Amino acid sequence: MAGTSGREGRHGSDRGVDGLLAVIARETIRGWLVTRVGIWLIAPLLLRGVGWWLDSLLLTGFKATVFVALSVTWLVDFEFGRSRQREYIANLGCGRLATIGLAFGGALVAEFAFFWVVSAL
Amino acid sequence: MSSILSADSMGKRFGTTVVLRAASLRLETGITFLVGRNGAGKTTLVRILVGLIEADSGIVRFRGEYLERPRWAAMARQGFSYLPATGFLPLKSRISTVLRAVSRSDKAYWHVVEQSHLEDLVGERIADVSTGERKRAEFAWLILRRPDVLVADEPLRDLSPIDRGSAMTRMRDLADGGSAVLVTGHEIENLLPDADSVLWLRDGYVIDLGSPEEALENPAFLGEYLGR
Repeated sequence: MAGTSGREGRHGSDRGVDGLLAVIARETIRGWLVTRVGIWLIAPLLLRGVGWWLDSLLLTGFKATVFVALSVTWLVDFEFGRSRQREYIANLGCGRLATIGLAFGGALVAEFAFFWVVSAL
Repeated sequence: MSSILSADSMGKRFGTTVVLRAASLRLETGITFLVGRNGAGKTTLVRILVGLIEADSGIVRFRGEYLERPRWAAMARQGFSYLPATGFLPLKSRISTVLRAVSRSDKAYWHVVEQSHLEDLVGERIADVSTGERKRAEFAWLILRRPDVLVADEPLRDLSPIDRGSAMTRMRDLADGGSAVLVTGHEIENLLPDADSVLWLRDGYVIDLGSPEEALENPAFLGEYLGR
């Protein structure tokens, strides 16, 4: 059998961390954004209208509850779901904790970006 | 010669059932076929190599480093890929998305798509294609990823003869490109002719049967596994 020398490190140059992060970010944030936009924009408008949407403490509680529920759902699906997201990401070289951190970090950034856009309008 | 991935005296029991006693193996470039009866512990050994199960005893060595408990993602960063029997591509993603994620260029992407006969399927979600098409997409991903080590657990299971042949061709492509491929399964007629070496997991130990020709001359293997 032939040896394996001379093949060391080819992955590092082939596809670096940028590609990996891009894939994870796209996969995790995309689904989150779609859901969030639906909850933040459409549901409140259907309920009461724009003014109430911005001011209501009750709705803020509702949003927070939904956010936590979505986060837990995402986490459970990632760990125990059948979507194979976890296996795919592991084969890309990203561990579970890093993925969870990235997904929630991305969610947080998107949350602030959303607030910034809304307050600027 | 030092092997890229090896396991030494792996032991594992579930309750009172001893699955692995002192299973050892060494992977080098080429296709290594790990065979054994149902319940012999093939998947257990594979999952220990990947770090999905913790062994009771023994040690894994990857790229010269001893690992008490391997970590799949950390090994993947160093050229390791694992193909579970249930697949690994995310069901909600499109084939083009996952393949482009590991393509170094547009040319490489289209070359592998055509090679894998996925031209009409790249826009489909993984969940929406057949088992054979899904497996073709997984091997296309692996060809683009070019792992130094691929551990494939029953990759031919539930595949039609033509898809089995296609999967074997892709594994041969990887091996000829310098990868070490460990494959498990019961599809002797497909796996044996293409293997470079055969390991037999029996009674918790791994027996090195040598080449496929040598394996077919082993009376114990012929009698106890093939039933001849």
